Amino acid sequence: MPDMMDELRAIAPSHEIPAWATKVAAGGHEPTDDHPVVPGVGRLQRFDRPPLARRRTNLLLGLAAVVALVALVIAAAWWKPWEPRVATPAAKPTTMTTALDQKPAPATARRQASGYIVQSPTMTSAVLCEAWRQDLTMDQGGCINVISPLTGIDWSTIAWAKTGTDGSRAAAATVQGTLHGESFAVDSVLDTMLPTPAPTSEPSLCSAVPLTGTKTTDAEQLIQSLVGGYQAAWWTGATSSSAGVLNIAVTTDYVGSTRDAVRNSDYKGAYCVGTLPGPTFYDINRMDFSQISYASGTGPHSLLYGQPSIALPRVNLRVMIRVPEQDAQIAAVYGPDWAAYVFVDPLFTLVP
Amino acid sequence: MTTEFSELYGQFAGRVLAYARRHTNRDDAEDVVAETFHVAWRRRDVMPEEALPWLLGVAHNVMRSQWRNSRRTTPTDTLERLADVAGDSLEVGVVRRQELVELLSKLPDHEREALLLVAWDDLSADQAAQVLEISAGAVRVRIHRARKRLQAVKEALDA
Repeated sequence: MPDMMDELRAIAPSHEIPAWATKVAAGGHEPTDDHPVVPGVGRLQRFDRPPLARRRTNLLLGLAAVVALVALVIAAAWWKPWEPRVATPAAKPTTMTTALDQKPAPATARRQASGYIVQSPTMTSAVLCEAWRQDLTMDQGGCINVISPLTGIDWSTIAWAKTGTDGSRAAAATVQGTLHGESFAVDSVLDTMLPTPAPTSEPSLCSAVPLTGTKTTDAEQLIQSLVGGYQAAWWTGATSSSAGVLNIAVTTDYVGSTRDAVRNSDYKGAYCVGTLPGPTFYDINRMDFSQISYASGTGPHSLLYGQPSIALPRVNLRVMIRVPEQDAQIAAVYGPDWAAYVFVDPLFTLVP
Repeated sequence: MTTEFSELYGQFAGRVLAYARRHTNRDDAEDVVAETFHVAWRRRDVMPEEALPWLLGVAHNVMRSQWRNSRRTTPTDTLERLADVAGDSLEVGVVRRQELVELLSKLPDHEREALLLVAWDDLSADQAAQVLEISAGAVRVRIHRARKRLQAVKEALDA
């Protein structure tokens, strides 16, 4: 049995160019017609270049490059990037006039502020506080109302500064320096408050001068019997048939007059309000007891209520006294929107 | 160079035409020959001394490119083309020739391609590998599988 490969070789196609292959047959020599299908060897040399499609692509790319180059040259000649551009104003500038009193604000104007300088270990910088709550550590919020963050604080140069485990603080200090945005660049620290408090003597009572009808000795006796010596009240002309006039004399701390924060200020000068008329017995008797903050006590009050067997009430009044003399000090610490008042809570036992 | 190329054309144009004819019709086969020698002329500087495998490889690529461009996924009827190109042999006979052609047409294309490059184009396995751009080992494997497949088909037909 013959091998299949031999059989396949036996039926191999002829390698001669068949008669039907006229195109191939014409390729081996120079064609006689003008349009040979298969280029002859001689003509192949003339076709030794890229095909038409590629030549067309190359031509288009070259043409595009030339056009882009020409456009670039035209644009460069138009815009002249090598020449600096000068902005032309749309209109002639107008003349500016300066007011006679107009002065530029100094960029480095020195300012000063007063308060407590406080810095706890958790703070990145010292701050100036309005006041300091001694019952709280700095970490717990002992600083009351931050006036401004401070930069440039050197605690070693502040002799009266105190340092504890919760930080350092300098009481009643005035810092001087310049403002930089929201921070205050300190260049000096003074052991004082602004404005400099007037020297005062030890807390003392006002001279209790009765307005009318009461002897001074009587007034002083009443003052001494009242709470803390800071409040004084007496009445004049009080009889069984007349309510008379209640007089109030107040001597109290300036710092305790407006806000709790100020109560601990180092300014301990007593401030004498003086005497002023208070509510009359008649006014008191007309009060609605629900509006009286405190009413208790014992004592005859037959005069007022006609019930002598019942204890007389004690009346706690809240009196707010405007103190314009202190406005300057208050404004220096809190600003111009603050006003000074003295609050007193005199306690009265209504006696005939 | 012109003379050398003319001689090259005269020597191998018929071989390239026979190879192309196995894969496509007569008109296209002639175009394949023209394009193959066109490429050969442009790349004559890199054409190896053993030109036939290289020319058949170019023809193979030309046809693949034509099929891709014409979006034809399969060439014309394989059996018809093989019957047209297969030579006559007194030893084999007409009946056996037809039988062999039918067996060849039932082979997978890649196996038939490798087998006929050796059997019809007188190429070695290495040369066939150059045409198909695969390894010689892969060509031998394809030929081996083609021969086994032919034998199996023949036995099946005989049975």
